[in-house]
Amino acid sequence: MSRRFAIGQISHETNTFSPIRTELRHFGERGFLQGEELLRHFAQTKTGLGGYIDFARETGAELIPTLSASAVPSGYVAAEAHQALVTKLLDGIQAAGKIDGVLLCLHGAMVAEGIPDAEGDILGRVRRLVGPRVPVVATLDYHATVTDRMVSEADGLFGYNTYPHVDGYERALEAAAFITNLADGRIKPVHEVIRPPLAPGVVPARTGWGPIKKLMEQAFAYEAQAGVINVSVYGGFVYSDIHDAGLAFLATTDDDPALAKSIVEDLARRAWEMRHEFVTEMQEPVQAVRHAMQAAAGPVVLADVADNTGGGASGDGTEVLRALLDQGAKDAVVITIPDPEAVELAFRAGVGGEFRGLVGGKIDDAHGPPVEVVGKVRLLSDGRFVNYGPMGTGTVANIGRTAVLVSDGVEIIVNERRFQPVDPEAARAVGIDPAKRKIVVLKSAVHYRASYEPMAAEIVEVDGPGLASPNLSRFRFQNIRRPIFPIDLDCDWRPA
Amino acid sequence: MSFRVAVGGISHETNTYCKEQTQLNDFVIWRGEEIMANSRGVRSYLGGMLQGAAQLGACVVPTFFARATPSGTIAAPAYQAMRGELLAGVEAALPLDAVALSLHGAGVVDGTDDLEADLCQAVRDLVGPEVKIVVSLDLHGNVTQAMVDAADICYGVHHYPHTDGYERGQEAVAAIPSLLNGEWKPISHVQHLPMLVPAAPTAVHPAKTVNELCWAAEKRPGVLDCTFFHGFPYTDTPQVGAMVMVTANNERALARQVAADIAAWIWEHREDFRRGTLTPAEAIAQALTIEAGPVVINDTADNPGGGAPGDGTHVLRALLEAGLDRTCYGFIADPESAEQAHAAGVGRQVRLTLGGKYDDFHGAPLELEAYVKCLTDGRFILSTPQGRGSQVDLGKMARLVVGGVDILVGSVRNQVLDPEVFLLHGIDVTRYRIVALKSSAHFRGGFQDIARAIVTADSPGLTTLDVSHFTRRRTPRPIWPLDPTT
Repeated sequence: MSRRFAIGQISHETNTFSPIRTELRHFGERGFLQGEELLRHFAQTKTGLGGYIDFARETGAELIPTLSASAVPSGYVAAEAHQALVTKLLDGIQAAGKIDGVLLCLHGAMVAEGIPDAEGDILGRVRRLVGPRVPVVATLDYHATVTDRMVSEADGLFGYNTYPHVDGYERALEAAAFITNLADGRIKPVHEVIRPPLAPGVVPARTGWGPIKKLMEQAFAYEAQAGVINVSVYGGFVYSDIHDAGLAFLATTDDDPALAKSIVEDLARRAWEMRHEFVTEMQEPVQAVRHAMQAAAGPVVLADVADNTGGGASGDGTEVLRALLDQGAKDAVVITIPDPEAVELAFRAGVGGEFRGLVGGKIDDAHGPPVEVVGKVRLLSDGRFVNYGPMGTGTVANIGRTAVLVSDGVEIIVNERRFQPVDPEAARAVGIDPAKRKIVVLKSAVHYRASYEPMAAEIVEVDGPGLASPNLSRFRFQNIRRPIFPIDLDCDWRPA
Repeated sequence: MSFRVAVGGISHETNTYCKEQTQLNDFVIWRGEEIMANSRGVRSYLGGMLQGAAQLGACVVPTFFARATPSGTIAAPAYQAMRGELLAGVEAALPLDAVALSLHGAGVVDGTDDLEADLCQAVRDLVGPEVKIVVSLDLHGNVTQAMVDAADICYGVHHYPHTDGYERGQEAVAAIPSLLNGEWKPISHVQHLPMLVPAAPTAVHPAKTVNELCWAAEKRPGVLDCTFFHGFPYTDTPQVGAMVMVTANNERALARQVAADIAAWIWEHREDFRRGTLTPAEAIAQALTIEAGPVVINDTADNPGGGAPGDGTHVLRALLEAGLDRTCYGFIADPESAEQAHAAGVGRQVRLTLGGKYDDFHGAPLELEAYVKCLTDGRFILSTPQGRGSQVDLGKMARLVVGGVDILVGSVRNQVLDPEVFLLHGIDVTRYRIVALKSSAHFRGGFQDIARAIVTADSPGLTTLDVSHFTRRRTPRPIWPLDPTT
């Protein structure tokens, strides 16, 4: 008899510093899918849900789709939005009837109004619905805040090993294999989590580089040991100002609690010893643009990491654009400035028409004031395209109506919806091949690296203003436990 | 040795079967410095001439240059105006050591069958016998003895796609010192062949084999140049046909002999030039047998680069009827439809009568409802070796979506040479299963490295591979493949 699993996804990375209250309609923008439509949407995509779908196809398991809802990172999730999403998820699981398990894709750094640990809440309520005997397993984002409650409510949690997140699909396959073993009674998992007082910015905590690279390698070495089921390194999300935010290590072993404990303590100790590597140097916008203009070859990618929409920043930050225009940069493209007002203006001017108006800097006052742009409208598009990857290959993006403005040597892509331009398709879909430009400005902290590193002559991280800045002195923290490094540079800690 | 050279030209490939004459305002005209600004660093004949002159330290006097997308017989007043301006430019540039002309070879003017012979002779009459005249030509030229006799030396491109226009322009200017110092006394012989050659890409036999024979001949002592001109079959004049041009250094007999030998080889192998053809539906069926894309289907019969209107619908209709997905088509020249798409706006559905407006021969208009995905100004820069760096302006353009087919619509008729027009509209052709476009062979320069396969679709049209389609009144007969020949 084939196994039956309910699958679902609720995903939001909450930047508690953002003034954008995340409402139900924001989840609708990026797809709010139920039933068969969910399966159709994610089939053959390199995503977590795509992984569950492939697992079912290969093993003959039956999937009961419940809900997939995700929103671009932004501020606190409205209490009623959280309630509505969880209700839909629970209704879907309930309607599934008798099931052998629940497979979820969660983020881990979602914060709802009044519920700092939103995923703990989701997992707890799923647990109460299905009871203690039905396994509940979830994948988590690398930027999850892993709380004790999440660990105790779930039977297994599988964090991405990569940032850029290119392994959501693989982690889902791992989670599905785990739930099968669990349902078959072949394993008896026990977990141990540790959170050292470390909360780096997302940029220096990227994988494939520096301290996290070493920690990941160590974690993989542990995973190869007998009795170890999973070891996850979580970079955490420091812009989610809750008590438990920051780095976390989670080990799952087959009925060996002492082994799990020794693994996470060793990883925490190693992380602490390397803590100073999490503090990085960056260039101011004016300086970064000058540097790019003087470079012998392009593309020079200027990563506006502080205005990373994927980290909850507005994305309509203007400081790098202003520096390009002020210095008369040539052969430069800005990907993108979300600004529905500027889009409307461009659409009214029409292709070939004159554009004169304020661009960006309108969502909040943390990302620079609007810039006066005078130029021409080169292109108008519906803003729908398919991501090529390697992150999210095959997923359909809809960034709203989009226009390309040209002001001297600077091309500015303006669009209606906030999103993180991780895939060069965002530019190619509007006729710009970023590989052929000298200067490429991206509103992204790290994810862009998966696709841009192979084409970039150089990558420069820019220290502009923004709610995703790795420069943590720009923020006023209220809830995170203190002292914590590098907010408190001189704090001390010894693992138990 | 430093010298002073005037640069200019009039370049047009005339399809005498077009229903309308080509007027002055159909030409893009550059005067003086505009020639320099538009050609420097560009991979074109003129770009090569300028580079050749720069390398030799020559003084360049840019005069007058006119070119038009291939189209009908040039109206006599239009030609007279351009000819007058070019001659005035050369006259004003005197004294000169040389004149370098970028011509085509298949220009036909109402009342003057051989534009290039007329123009070269006029320049000769103006500058006298001592000033050297060097010429670059297209291999689709219907080249005549009168043309080459009026000039000192002519060079035709070797390749189709014409990826070597730059090199030939450079070669023409590089010849000037040897002509001036008397080292070279070129004598050219043009050996005509009674053949109408349909589009014959030089990457494959038989055109490739003929090129190899020409290059081998050029190695013979005394031979300065040997070029196979395919001729332009969509011309109904006494000089239409293929030919071999050989230039020898002061040895008329050698030039004759080499030309005759290669011409004899071509004649003997003439059946190799016959192209098996597929209808649009057959071409699509063949493309679908190839597992992975992109497969390029070239709509050869409606090639604006050969004088066709570019609004033909035979291939697009077949694509739509086949119910394909991941398919794109570039492009239908239909300013009315482009305007309607812009008026409707992005994200809207628009009802169009698309294409087929020029005549009935290229297919009836398509009545369709399309989604407007993207609108642009139609401006981009070529990336193919043939003309790399040139600015193209196709006017208002739209990317429409009908089912699984992305259709580009432009306001100016033009051949598709490379993927840039697709990219401009957000289409990465490497992701598509079928990429259909209007071109006979030039597209190969921009697509051969990315296409999994190339399938040619033929249909009625002013550049059909079926050269027997056209009524011939002035073409010399008998001629292959129209008549039985021995």
